[in-house]
This record gives sequence, C-alpha cells and structure tokens, in this order.
Amino acid sequence: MNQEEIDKLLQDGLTLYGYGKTEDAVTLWRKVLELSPRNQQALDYIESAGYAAEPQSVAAGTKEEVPKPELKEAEFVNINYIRDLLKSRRYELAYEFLERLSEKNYPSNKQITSYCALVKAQLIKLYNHELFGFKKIPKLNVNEQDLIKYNLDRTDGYIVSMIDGYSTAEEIFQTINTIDRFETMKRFYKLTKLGIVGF
Amino acid sequence: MGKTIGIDLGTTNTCVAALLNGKPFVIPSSTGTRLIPSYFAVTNDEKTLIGVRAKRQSITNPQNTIFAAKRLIGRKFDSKEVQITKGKVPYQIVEGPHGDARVVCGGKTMSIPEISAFILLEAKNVAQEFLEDDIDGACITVPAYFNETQRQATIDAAEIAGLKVLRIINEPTASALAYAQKRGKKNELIAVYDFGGGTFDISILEFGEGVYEVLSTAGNTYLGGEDIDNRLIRYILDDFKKAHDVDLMQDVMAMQRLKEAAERAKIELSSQTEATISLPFLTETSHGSIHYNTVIMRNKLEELMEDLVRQTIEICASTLEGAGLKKDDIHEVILVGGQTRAPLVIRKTAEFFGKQPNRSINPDEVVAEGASIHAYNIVSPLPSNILVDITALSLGIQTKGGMFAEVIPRNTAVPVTKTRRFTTTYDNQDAVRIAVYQGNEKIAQDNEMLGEFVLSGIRLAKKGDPNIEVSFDMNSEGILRVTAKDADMGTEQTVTLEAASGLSNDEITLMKKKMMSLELELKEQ
Repeated sequence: MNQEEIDKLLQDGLTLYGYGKTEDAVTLWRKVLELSPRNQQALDYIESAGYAAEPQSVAAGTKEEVPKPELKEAEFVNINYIRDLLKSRRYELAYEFLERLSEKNYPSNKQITSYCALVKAQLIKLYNHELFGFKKIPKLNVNEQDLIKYNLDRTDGYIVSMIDGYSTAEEIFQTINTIDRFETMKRFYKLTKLGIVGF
Repeated sequence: MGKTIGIDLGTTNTCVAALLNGKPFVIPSSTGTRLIPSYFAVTNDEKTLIGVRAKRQSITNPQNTIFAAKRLIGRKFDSKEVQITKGKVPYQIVEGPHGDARVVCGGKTMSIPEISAFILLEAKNVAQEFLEDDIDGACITVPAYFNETQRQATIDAAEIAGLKVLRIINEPTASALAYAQKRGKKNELIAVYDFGGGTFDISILEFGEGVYEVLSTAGNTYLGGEDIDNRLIRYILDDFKKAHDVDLMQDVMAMQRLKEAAERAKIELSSQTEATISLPFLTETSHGSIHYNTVIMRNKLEELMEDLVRQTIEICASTLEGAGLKKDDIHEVILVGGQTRAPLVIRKTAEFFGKQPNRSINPDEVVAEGASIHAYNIVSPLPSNILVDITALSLGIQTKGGMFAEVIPRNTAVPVTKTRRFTTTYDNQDAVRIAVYQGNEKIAQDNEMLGEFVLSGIRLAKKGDPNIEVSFDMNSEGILRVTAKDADMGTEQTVTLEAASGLSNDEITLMKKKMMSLELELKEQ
C-alpha cells in the first residue's frame, strides 16, 4: 500500500468535490478503498457525499469487514450532530462546529478531521456556485460611509476595499494574500449574503 | 503589415500609444485604465501579477512585489544607485553573475530586464487586444541621462517580451514631438518639466529646421509623486495615532488601504480644494473596530509638498545656468508627469519661468504619444521630423593617474566623431591601454567602463613624444567605435563597443522562451 498515492487520491477527490464533480470525487475515494479497504477517511468522504461506501465491483460483505473506530460517547454525539447538519445542508454551521472540535476537543480524531476537510470542500463547492465560479466582477452595493452600519471587522473592510469594479472575484482572491483563500471566499460569500457585495 | 506603438516605460507607470488616423491615441486596457503601474509580483500560490493587481498587493506582499525596476535597469550591483535603492525597497536586490543587479521574487532570482519585460509584455498585449492587430515594432522611451548600458538593457527587456525595438528615444524628445504635433512646428527653445511618480527631470530642447535637439538635461531620480504620497500617509498616520493611540504601521491591510486612499486624495486635490478620506473598519483594538474619516484640504497637501516642489525648481535654475540660458530664452514650458497636475506645481513653474506652462497635453500620456508618433515616422515612407539626441554623459578614456579624459563631452548631439591626441607616459613605451569610460566624474573608475583594448607597435621614443590619436565615432543608434592610431607609424587598432546590459545572448533567448510559456499561463489565468 502506497500511503503517498492514497493521500493524493483523497486530496484530489476533495478538490474535485469542491468543484462540484461529486461522482469523479467518489470514484477516486473508491480507488482508495481498493488499495486500503479500511481507510476511514475515504469511507467518511463517500458517506458524507451521499454515496454508498462500497463500489459495485467489490464483493458484498466488504463493508461489514471494515471496523468503525470506536467513539467515546461525546464524540459519537458530536458526529451525529454533524451528520444532521450536513443532511440539512447547514454546511457553514457544520464547518464552524467541526473547526471548534478539531482545534479544542479532539485535535487527533481522524474522523473529525476528515469531516472537516469534506465540509470545507462542500463549502468551496457552494461558494463557487453562489459566486458564479468567481468569474464575475463584483460590485459594491453600499456606500463606504454606510458600511459602518454592518457588523464587520477589519478583514471584511480590507476585502471590500479590494473591489475595484473591474477585477473578477478570482482576480481579487489572487491579490489578497494576507488572508487564506478559503477564508477570503467565506467572507466574500458573507458579504454577498448581507447585500453589501453584488454581481 | 501590423501596427507600431510607442511605450513610455516609466518608474511608476507605463503608458502605450499608437498613431490612429494621423493622431496619437493612448490605448486603454480592458479595465479602462490608461496607465499600467510598473509593478510585478509573485503571489503565495506562485501566480504572476502585473500592473494594477501587483500594485494593489504591494504592501501586503512586499518581499515579492517589484516596483521601480527602472532605477536598477542596466546598473551594476555595486553602483551607488543600486546601493541607495537597496536601502529604500522591501524586496531583495542581489548581485547577478555578470556583476549586474538582480532581484529575488517568489523565491527566484530574476534579472531586471526580465522584470521590465513583463511590463512591456502587458503593454504589448493591451495594444494588440485593442488594435486587433500584431505589433510590428515599438519606440520605447528612456530618460535622457540613461547611459548605453541602461539603453541596451531596455532593448533586451523588449526582446525578452517579444517586442521589436524600432528606436530607443529620450523622454523629453518624445514629449516635444507630441507637443509639436498639436501646436505646429516653430523654431523655439522648450523646457520639458517632468515630475513623475518616482523621478524628476528637466530638459531643455531646441526645435528648429525640423530638427529636435536636447541641449541639456538634469534631474533627481529619487524625487517624485510617491514622495508626496508618503508625506500624506505620514500625516494621516500621525493624525490617527493622535485620535486613537494606535500605530497603523504594523497593520499591512490598513497600510495598503491608506496608501491607496492617500494617492486618490492627492489626485482629487488637483481639481478640488478638499478631499474626503473614508476608511471604514480600518483596524481594530480590544474595544472593537475603528473607522477613519477625515477631510484633507488642498492647503494642507501643499504645505506637505512645498519643499519637494522647491527642490525641482532649484534643479531647473541650475540646469538653465549650466546650459548658459536665461529664463526669458525659453519660449515654452511643457509639463509632463502626473504630479504636474498639482496646482502648486503649476504656480511654481509659472513663477519661475515667468510664463504659464503649456498644459494642452495630458501630462501622463504625452511621452507615450510622442513615442508613437516617432514609431510611425520610422516605418512611414513620408518625410518626417528628424530627432537629434545628445550624449547625456561624457565619453572618454582613462589617462595617467586614473583621470578621465573626455573625448565626446556630455550634451553633444549624435551622430558625432571626435578625435583627441594623447601620448606615452614613459620612455620607449611600445603599447598603451585604451580604457573607455562613460560618465561625468573626473576619476575614470567612478564612471561606467564600456570596454578596453591595447594599441601596440608604438614608435619607440622618449615619453611624450609619440602622437596617439584616439577617435570616438558614435552613430545615431548609440553604437560607439573607438580607434587608436599611432600617427607617426600608422599603426591602428579599432573596437566597436556595444553596451552590455548584464545578460548574455543565451540568457536572453532562454528568458524569451520562458516568457512565451508564461504568457500562455497568464492568459489562462
């Protein structure tokens, strides 16, 4: 088993998933299961994407052979809560919850880390869709002076200041290098939801 | 047949123009902007940014954003100018394999012509897209004081960008060409006052009989509109500190916004008496977000920039004096560079020259316009104006004691041929070393060395007896032929000196290939 190859397949799957290519992503994660049938990350990704864990070609019974990691009661409750959030498509809330769990409560819990990566990919997919593939030029719908009425912070203020009326969202993301790309997308999405930014 | 263009490759901004229907036209980019900031950057995820986008992240990504490359082009790493620049920019400047100055950007060492090539490539693409035609060639402008090495490095940059250089022309000459196109040709003396983003230049030109000649030129390569922006930023920082007890200097996001706001306010104050700066959520403390709102009065800005404008006027006075001219001799003053839009600059130049400066041409665009006229004239079969350029620096050789002996003095119109006689320094000396330098310093080694050779077979005689004639022949392309001849024996040795930019031909070819693949990548972005 080549761990490097498995990691690459897992990551490539997340990237594809983030771009909305769910089936392609699941194909890659199933490849992981062919190499390592007990790979919990791949199992979690496939399950969270709403697909069956076992590929068609794998004999029935494989799933049963894969032991689920034992979870402490609190963790079990948390995972179930996350699954509920995902089912109801409340991805942002799920991500925030997962981030808190992975940072504070269970930094080494692989299942939580896997869910975190997957929800992140799911959010990228959402942002990509809602922000028109980042290809459109965003515009400010609010006067600079009126911005103070909103509950923003200095990072939001900086992102808003980068909207110049001729750069696409993608071009703006490239220019913003002090903030993580995912964080920039997240904030950009928030600004559109608040009606501050439009296309 | 494709089109020709003129490019003003500036320290802070670059402008591209073409002659359309007999008139120069500044080409806007797809974003509608007419100036391309001369900025190049590599982002954290290794994306290449050129122009306005590179500038807009210059404070948040300072180590990987290269600006003012023009101050470094064609210069040796250990030159005074490079060492000064090193202390003023946040990016790393290192010594290249040929002793040239190079920069580190995105973890890679890059030559300066490569950086300039990215800016030229952007200008070429803007023109190609707008004109929907191939670009056959370009006239690129340089400051009149650029030496041959700096000019050659600019040509190399164009070659890397896949741009054929029709001619390198001096910026004030290009301005005068654009001016003559609008006003018509008259025999007169013109002062070109060029206060740009990063530099100040004053040039005196003579126009007569269809010929332009740069009589004299001087300036300060570290005095420009950005110094005024920095004064305004400093003022705002102090004001903010006073009001909120917060030092914004450490907050890069706030500083990036402040820099842009200050530049915008300065531009507004050229046409209005007050400008509002509004920066909501500029920073935050434990008490919450802080917004910044203020009104800057024109009087305040003028107070902040007054001494900088005074310095430009002092340079004008010494340049006129050096050229043996009086203010009254100047028929017209042309204002060039965005900073000349400031009412204080207009007032002070009017006061000094005793006449209202000519503001009929857009000061940001006049140089590119003139370059486009000249580019068209070169390929057009129609009779055109003749450009006469000057040697901005003296050319000569090293003599006894390391002194510099001028053969062609500065401000000599080219093409030119000049001969001076020299002799031997000791008895029975049968060979002399001819070391050719360019510069205005008295000690030869303080100037730029262009090349050297040995004249041997000199008649054996007492020191001071042989007659050695050294001739310098410079053509209009700036190529210098130096001949040393023993007048008694007829022995002769000639070399042709073409300035080396710090890059070998192989390096230029390789960089050109790299640029072509990067161009595809940029288009995909």
